[in-house]
Amino acid sequence: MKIHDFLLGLIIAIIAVAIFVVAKDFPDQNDGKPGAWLYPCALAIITFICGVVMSLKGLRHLKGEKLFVLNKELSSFGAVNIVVVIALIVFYIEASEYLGFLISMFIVIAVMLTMLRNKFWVILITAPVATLVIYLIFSKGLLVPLPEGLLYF
Amino acid sequence: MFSFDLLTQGIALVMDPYVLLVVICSGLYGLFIGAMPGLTATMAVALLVPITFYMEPVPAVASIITMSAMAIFSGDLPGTLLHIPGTPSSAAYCNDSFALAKQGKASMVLGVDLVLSCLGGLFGSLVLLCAAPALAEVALQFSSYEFFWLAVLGLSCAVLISGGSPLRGVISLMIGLLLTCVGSDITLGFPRFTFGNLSLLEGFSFIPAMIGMFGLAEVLSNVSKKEMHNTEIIKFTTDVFKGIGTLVRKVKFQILRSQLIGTVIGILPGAGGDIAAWICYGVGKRFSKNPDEYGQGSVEAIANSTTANNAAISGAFIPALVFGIPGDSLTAIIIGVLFMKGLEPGPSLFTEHGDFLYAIYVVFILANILLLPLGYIAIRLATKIMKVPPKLLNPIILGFCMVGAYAINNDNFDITCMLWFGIAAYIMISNSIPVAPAILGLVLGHMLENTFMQSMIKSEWDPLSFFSRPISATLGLITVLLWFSPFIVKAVKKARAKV
Repeated sequence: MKIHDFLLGLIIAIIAVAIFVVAKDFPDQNDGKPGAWLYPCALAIITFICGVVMSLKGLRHLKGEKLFVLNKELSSFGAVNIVVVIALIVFYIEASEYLGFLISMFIVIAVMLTMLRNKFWVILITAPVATLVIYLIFSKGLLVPLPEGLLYF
Repeated sequence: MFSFDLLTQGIALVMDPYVLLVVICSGLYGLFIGAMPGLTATMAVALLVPITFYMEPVPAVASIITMSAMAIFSGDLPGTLLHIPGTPSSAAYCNDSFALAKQGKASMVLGVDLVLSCLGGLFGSLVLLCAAPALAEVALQFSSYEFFWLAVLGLSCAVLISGGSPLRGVISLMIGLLLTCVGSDITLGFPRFTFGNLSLLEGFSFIPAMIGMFGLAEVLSNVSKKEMHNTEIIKFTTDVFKGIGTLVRKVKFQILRSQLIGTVIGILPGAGGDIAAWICYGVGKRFSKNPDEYGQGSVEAIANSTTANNAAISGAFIPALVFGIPGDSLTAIIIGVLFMKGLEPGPSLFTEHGDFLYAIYVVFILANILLLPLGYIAIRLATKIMKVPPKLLNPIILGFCMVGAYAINNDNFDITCMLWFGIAAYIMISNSIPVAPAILGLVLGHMLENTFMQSMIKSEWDPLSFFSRPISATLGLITVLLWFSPFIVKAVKKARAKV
């Protein structure tokens, strides 16, 4: 989704103000000299200025233009796909500790292959093979302790 | 001073069949690790250390040197073919490489990467061989003031690498810098923006951020399209080196400049191949005849950065060998290995173990020459990936992205970070805000704050102290000139027009 520069600048400026409000309460150094607040506050001020400039620039072209425009390439099918990919990652994060890497990653890859309309036999071969290859490379080859969960090797 | 006798002894040590076998095996291992998103050369070296324990000093150090040289190059493979930089050193020119790959020029890009990585590495090796002690003396003069200016100089490149609008480039840079505020602050250890989350105390890891902003954003973009196709990319010519000679001749001065800058940045403690690549990218664009091509698929941009990151590897060894001061995490491990083998890095290494020292120089040269055949094989194997249909490839890429992010700290929290970075990058790209400056901000943010606070505390908050030392004042002047150069050029042009 493309947001109009006027609105985008405004959002950036508001976020910068929020960061400034939180950061200004960070403590000074023990001798009273500027401390933890200095760097984030300085960055927030620069970001605020950039946001305001962007918003003002956008204001010139505001007439007759929409505040939100959907990407030309993004169909409703594409938007659903994005949500599914995000949901799959969240699923892996939450489930991998209990189900283990092998089962969780198999589900992630299999669901995504299905979502992208691969043939059933392709999914049946690719999902377990890809999961196993990733497992062997990282867990056995590079000694990364992937979550074991239900399946313990 | 250079000694021919010691060089002969060094060559004899390296030409042992066992050492050569170790060099080839670790080269292949390095190529594999570099091509895996999320796995850094440092992590690969850490995995290699237990094996080096059973080796003699020369093959032990040779394996680490060869592995790191190969890994930096092979980080370009997923960067070019999948838009996921294999190592942080490849992030600077990932957009250019992928843009050219989409135009069906992937083999040309990888050929340039391979040949110029080799040339960059060889240049760094020659500098190491001829001028290590003298250069290390200069590098040791760098204090927080000089590093502050170096960070500012690097950040100034954000405007140059931003492509279209400088304002959007600065906004992106600010996003990256603000993200480095998360975690404990340097002066008091006060937790900033952690909201009680212990995992955030150390701040965001760079690797999950990089994988999210490049890799996951690419996957999200691919699955959102009605039709996915990679037909242009799979049009591979088998001759990777075709036309490379002409290309190299065309950019020979840029290559030389990047070799110099890359080696010098490598020498500076704390500044490695990734920073060298970003700075050379920015400098290259600033002085380029075709700056508009940068970010859209510029061979010149790739040439500048890929030369620099390999040159920086040899540079980092200079302070490590001469003074025992690690230039980066990789050389810190090397120093540990040397101690383990009873060799103390520093002046005594030059006086008592000259043959070993020259063997290291020879290994550097050998590793960079070997990069050509081994890298060629890696390119041929990697290009097979692109024959896989994208609707089959994207789920597998997602799997690698998730495990790559996890592998840094063995923590699912890094996958969460990768997810947020990926979504943020997708929104940024949709709104024409470039991602590269944010990555640059993430790379240099800590260095900027740390060096600024250290300098201010040391000088009791005297801002003029940033210009009080010769090298610092020179770097400061260069930075200020770089900022004002567009206005100066405009003024000069106006004055000329009047005449």
